[in-house]
Amino acid sequence: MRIYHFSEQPYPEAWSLDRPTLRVTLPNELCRPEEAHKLYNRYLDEWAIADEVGLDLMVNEHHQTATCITSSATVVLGILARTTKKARILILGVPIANRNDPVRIAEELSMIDVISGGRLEMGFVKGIPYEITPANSNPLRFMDRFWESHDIIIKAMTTHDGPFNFEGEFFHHRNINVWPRPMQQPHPPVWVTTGSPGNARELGRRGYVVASFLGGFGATQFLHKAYAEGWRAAGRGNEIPVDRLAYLALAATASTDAEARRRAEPIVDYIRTTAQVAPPFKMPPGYFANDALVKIVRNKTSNPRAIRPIASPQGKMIQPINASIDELIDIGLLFCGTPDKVVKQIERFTDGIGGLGHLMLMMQGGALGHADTADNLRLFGNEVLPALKARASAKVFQAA
Amino acid sequence: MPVPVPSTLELMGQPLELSVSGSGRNILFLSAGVWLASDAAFTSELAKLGRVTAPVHPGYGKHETANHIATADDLAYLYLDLVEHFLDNDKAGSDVIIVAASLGAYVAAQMAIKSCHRIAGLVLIGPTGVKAGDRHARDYVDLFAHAEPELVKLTFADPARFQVDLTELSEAVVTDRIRAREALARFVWQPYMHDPKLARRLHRITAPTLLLRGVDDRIVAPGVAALLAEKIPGARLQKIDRAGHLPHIEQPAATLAAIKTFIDALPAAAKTTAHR
Repeated sequence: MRIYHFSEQPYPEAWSLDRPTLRVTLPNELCRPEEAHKLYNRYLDEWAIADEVGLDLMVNEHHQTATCITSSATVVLGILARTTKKARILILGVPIANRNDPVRIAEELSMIDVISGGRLEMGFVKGIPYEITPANSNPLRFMDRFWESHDIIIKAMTTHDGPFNFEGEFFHHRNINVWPRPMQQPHPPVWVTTGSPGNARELGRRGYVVASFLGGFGATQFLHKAYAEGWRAAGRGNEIPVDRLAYLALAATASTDAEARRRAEPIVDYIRTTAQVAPPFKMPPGYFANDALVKIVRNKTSNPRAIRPIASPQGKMIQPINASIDELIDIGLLFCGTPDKVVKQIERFTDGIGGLGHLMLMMQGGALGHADTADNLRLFGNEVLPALKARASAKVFQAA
Repeated sequence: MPVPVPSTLELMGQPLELSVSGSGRNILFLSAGVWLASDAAFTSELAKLGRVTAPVHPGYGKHETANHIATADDLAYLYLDLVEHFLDNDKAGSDVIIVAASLGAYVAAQMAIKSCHRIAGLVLIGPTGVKAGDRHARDYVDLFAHAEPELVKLTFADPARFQVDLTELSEAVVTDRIRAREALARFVWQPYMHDPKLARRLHRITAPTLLLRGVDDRIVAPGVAALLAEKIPGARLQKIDRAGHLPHIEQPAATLAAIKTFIDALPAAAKTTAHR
């Protein structure tokens, strides 16, 4: 199993501004560029530490938000491609339906793959609903646009005999001829995030890596079973390699449990605050299925993406937004404690869901400072990772 | 009160729900398409003035929108086909008066610039479709960036009449509103609520045109109706008091009276179906 260090590159000062939301409408006069300069360089240093200690790296992007000042993940990846040496560099991902030019995406990702010596893991994401307004993209037929953009990117990376033409429903290019082509053949591994079984089945059919965030035991295994159905239906064989399955959680380790819990608090703050957005931006028309929206509106649930209660292995329903550290550990959203305890928690989780190939861990979140983050990363790389690697784990998905 | 006759047609590969009510001169009513309030009641009022054919815009009623019907211009071609279909299939006359509000008015203008051959008159209520301000100006409130209570305040002169508790509405009504919001987004998302080409084509409109604008319209900048009045030859702009963006819903009697005066002044319709 590979372990990836992930930070959203938050701008922690914003949390103390006492604003109703950190996204979409927060004026950028509240951003001090000098502070952002320090933060970017600090977070880049932390990805470099992760690389040194044997971890892999994950970068994402959001827009118009203090929760994540990575407004272009490809910019960060361009830097990491050069400054890191061994790590796989995962972009999770490019919001391809929110972008007007798939060919540009193919060019940028090919460059990154070549600069890094073939270390790119290429994630495509639908993006959360409040990315629609910043992108001004039409939320209607969003996934149709997603897959058309995907088709262009893959064809651009895999066509080597000169220019080709693509005149689709959403994108038109008369001369696609990407230089350079990617180093990994036929193209860097494709990942897609999803929380829906329908999309997971489609990803299984295509054989791509299915990635999901913070679902806990039940929801994650449910998605992986849907993925397996698609995989088998497409004739890919009966066994699903675990390197097709990826999951994101939070993680804090330290030399004592008390210290690890102190580190976990600001990271957990991410879950508590990330979805605070003015209501209309949470429900762009067409983004959600209408029957789901009807239930949300009639039940006064203002946030369709609100993190849902998750059942603990003992069957207790836990709402992550106000859960304790112990509860978050229990439901598989947080790995926290001394390295030996974290190893056991990760084994319990990955065994519990039938195996996992990629574990993305938010090891920096919220206001967690550099010294804590660096120590967190070093303990993970030096103690947790070797212990997990030493253990014989399943190579194929074991559905319960 | 005339009872509407519902029917379904398929035109341009798009199933289209219609209601037909009243008798007399042909009137095509194009709905405002704003999910905050229904204009079905106004359709019945309008049937006092003639034989009203009212299509349900694709995506609003029971039918999904075909992928190739994605803009106000696509709707304009669809409804030009509809006009030809019903004029050629009944003996009510050779032309039609179009009464249209908001999104409907945008579509009606897109129809009229193509040909006014079958259009006897045009009534545009709370019209949209053109941009009057410069590139920094927001001519139209972003309907998708406001919570509903705030949006109701902006839309109506007397918002209290139109505030609803969504948790109290039936599932069917909530579904209609959500579908309407989605359908509107499909047609107007970008360029938002207008076609940059439209203003330069308005001179082609030869039908007599009445523009009705609510005095308290806080959704559309006043320059929009003024620009339409300037560019559509002979168009007359009339204000409706105590009305916001949707005067036909908020002040149906005053709106209907203005339309009746306009229609009464039009030349009589030809009584036979014209050759095409």
